[in-house]
Amino acid sequence: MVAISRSKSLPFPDGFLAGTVRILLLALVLATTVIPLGKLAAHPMPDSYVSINMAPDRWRVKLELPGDRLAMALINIGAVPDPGPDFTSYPPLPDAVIADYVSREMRVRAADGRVWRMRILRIAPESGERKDCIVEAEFLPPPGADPRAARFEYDVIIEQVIPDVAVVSLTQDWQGGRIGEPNLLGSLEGERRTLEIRGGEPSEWRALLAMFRRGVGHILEGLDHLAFLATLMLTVGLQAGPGRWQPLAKPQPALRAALWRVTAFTIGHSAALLAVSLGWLPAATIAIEALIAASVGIGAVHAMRPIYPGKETWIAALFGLVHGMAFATVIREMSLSTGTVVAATLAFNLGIEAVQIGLVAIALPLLLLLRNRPFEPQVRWFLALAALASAIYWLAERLPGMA
Amino acid sequence: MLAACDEDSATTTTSTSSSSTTSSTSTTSSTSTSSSSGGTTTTCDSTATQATYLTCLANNLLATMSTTEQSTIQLSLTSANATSYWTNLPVTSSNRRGIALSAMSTTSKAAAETLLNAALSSTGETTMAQLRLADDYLAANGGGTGYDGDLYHVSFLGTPSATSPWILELTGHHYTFFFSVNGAGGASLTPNFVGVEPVSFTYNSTAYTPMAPERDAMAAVLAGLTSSELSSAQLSSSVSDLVVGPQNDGNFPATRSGIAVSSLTSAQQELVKTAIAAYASDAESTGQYDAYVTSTALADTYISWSNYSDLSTRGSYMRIDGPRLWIEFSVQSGVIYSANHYHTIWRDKTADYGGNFTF
Repeated sequence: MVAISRSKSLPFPDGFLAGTVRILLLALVLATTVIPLGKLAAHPMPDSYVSINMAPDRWRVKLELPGDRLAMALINIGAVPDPGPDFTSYPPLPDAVIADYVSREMRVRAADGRVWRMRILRIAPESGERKDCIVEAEFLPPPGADPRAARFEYDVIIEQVIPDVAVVSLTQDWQGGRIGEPNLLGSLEGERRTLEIRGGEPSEWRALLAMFRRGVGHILEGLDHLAFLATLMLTVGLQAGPGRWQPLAKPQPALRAALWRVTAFTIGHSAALLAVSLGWLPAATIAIEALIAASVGIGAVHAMRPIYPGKETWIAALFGLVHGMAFATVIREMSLSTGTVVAATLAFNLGIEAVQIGLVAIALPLLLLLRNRPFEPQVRWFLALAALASAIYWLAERLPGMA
Repeated sequence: MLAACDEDSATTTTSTSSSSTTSSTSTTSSTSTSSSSGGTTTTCDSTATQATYLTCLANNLLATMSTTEQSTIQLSLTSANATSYWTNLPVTSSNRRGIALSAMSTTSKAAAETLLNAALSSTGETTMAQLRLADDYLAANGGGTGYDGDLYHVSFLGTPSATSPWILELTGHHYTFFFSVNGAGGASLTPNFVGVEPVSFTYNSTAYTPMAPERDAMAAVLAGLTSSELSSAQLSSSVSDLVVGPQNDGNFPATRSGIAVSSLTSAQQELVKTAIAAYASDAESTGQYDAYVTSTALADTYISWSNYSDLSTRGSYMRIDGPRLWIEFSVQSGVIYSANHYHTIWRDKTADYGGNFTF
C-alpha cells in the first residue's frame, strides 16, 4: 500500500494515466470476452485413471473407469451376463457388482504383507464421452503400518482386458507438500499390476506454500471475485449526491473507505471460508455461484448510481461471506483432516489476500487520480457496464443449473 | 472401445506450403544431387529392381518439390521417426510428419501417387484408394475437417537409394504403411494399419465396403472351425483393441495363444492362407506372403479370438500369430457413426520398418 501515500503528489503524468486506464479497460473487455472459451477437449483415451490422495492416516483412491471396458471385464469374469453376438449396448452394471469387483481387484498392502482395510465410498456414473464409472474408495492402514508407504495391487479391468492401461498418479500428499500437481507414479498393464508407492519427504511449509499459490491462482482465475472487488473500489473516491455520484474533495476519506471495504470483504470471506472448510456451513452450491454473479451486478449498478450509499462496508462484508463459501470448495475437495484444514485455509486465504492487496495497490492510486477528472463518469460507467455485462453472462450461465 | 478411439477435435495440418506448379522447373538446378535422376523427373524403369524403381520414383517426387518441401518430406531413418508419428487417430499437427498429399502441388501429388501405388499390388492400391475414400465420405458427412482422403502424409525415412535402407511412409487416419527398401529384414510393407469407418457407405452413387475382403477372409477362418476348435482358439483375456497397435511396436506376446494352424484340416488351412493373403498380398513383391505360408511357418502359426468370433459384433477380435506374421482384427464401436468400425493391423516381427530397428 506504499502507493497510497504517494498518490497525493500525483506522480504519474497524464499520458501514463490514460495509458493505464486503457490497459485496465482492455483487460476487463478481454476478461469478459474470453470467458466463453472453454477448455479444449482432450482426446478421450480408453485408459483407466487412478488418483491417490494420501492423507496423514489414510488413502483415498479415485478410479475413473471407461464404461465399456468395465463392462468387458465384468462380462469376462461372468459378473454380468454376456449380451451375446450382435448386441447393441452393454448390459447395465449394478453398483453392487462394481463394488464387489473393485473390492476384489484392488488392494493396498503394508510392507509386512498385511492388507489395508478398504471401504468403497462412492460409485457414480459420469456422463462423458467415455461413459466413465467413478469409484471412490478409502484405505486404512493396519495398526503400526507406515501410512506413507505401501504396495498398491491393482487388477481392475487390466487383468481381464488387454491392452488396457491404468494410469496411476499421486494427486495429493499434504505431508509431502504435494497439492494440486499430480505426480505420475506409473502405468499398469498386462502382467505389470503392482506399484510400490511412497509419499514425498514430509515438509509442512511446502504444503502451505502450495496452498498459498492455490489461493493466488484461485482468485486470479475467479474473474467474478475480481469483478466484485473492482466494483467495490470504483466508488471509493466519490460521495453520493442526489441520485448521482460526486467526487470527494480530499483523498483521505477515499483511502479510509477503501481500507474498510476491503477489510470487510476479507473478514466476510475468511469467516465463510473457514466455516465451510470445517464443515460448519454447507458447501457452495450453484445457488451461491449465482448469488456471486448477482453481487457483481449489484455492485456494478451501485457504481453507476448510488443505491446503498454509506453502507458499502456492510455490503462488502455480506457478499464477502457469499464469495468465501465458493473459495472453500477448493479446500473441501481436498478432504483434509480438521487440523490440516485450518492451516490450509489460512495459507490459501493469504494467497487470496496477496492478490487483493496487489489489485487495490494498483487500482487505488488510479482511482484517486481519476476522481476529479471530467471523464471520470465515463470511465466508471464503462467499467461498471462491463462488470454488469459479465454479471448477466454469469447469471445466465448459472441460473439454469439451479433448476 | 467406446467412442474412445478416433475422435479428436483435430485441426487439419493442411498448411499449404504453397508449392506452385512451376516449382518443378524452378528447383531443378538448386537440388541437383549426385544421384542420376536428382533434380529432374525421368521415366523410371519398372522392370529394374524394386529398390531402383522406387528410388527413381522417389527422386521424381523430390524433383517436383521446393527445397523447403524436400527437407520436410525427408526424415532420418531413426526408430523415433519411424514409430512416433503414426496413429489411428485423425490427423493433427502433432501426430504426423512429412507432407500431406493435400498440401502438395498437383505435379507433386501425381508423382507421390505414382510412387505410393508402386509400393502396392493392385489389390493394395484398391485398399488404399477405398480407405482414403472413406475419409472423404466422413468429411462430407459430418466427420469434420480432421478427415480427408488426401490428408495422408508422405515421408522418406532415410534417403531414397537403390542400395541403402530407407522407408516410404504413408500415414493418415485409418491407413498407414511403411514400405521398406534394402532393410536388414528384407522388403516389407509393415507395419500396415488398415481400418475403416463407416464399414460400408455410398459415395457418389457407388457403394463401398472397403474392408470386406479382409473382414470376410478373417471371419471365414473362425467360421470354418468346429465348436471345440473354436473354444480352444478363444483367448482368456478380453481384447479391447489392437495389442500391437501404433506406438506398441514389439509388444508381441511371448507365447502364441489359440489353436495351431497345423492342427487344422487342409481346407481350413487354405482359409487361413486366404486370410493372410487379404493383408500380405497388398504389398508389391515383398515376398512376405510366401514367407508366412511355408509349411514351417504355418506349423508355428496360431489363430485366436476374443469376445465374439463373428467379426461384426462390437468387441469381436481375431489374431493370426506366426513366427513372423502378426495380424489383428478388432471390431469397435463407431466414433462418428454409431455402427461398429474396424481397426486392424498387419505386422511382421522380422521386417517391421525393414527390420532396421529392434524393440
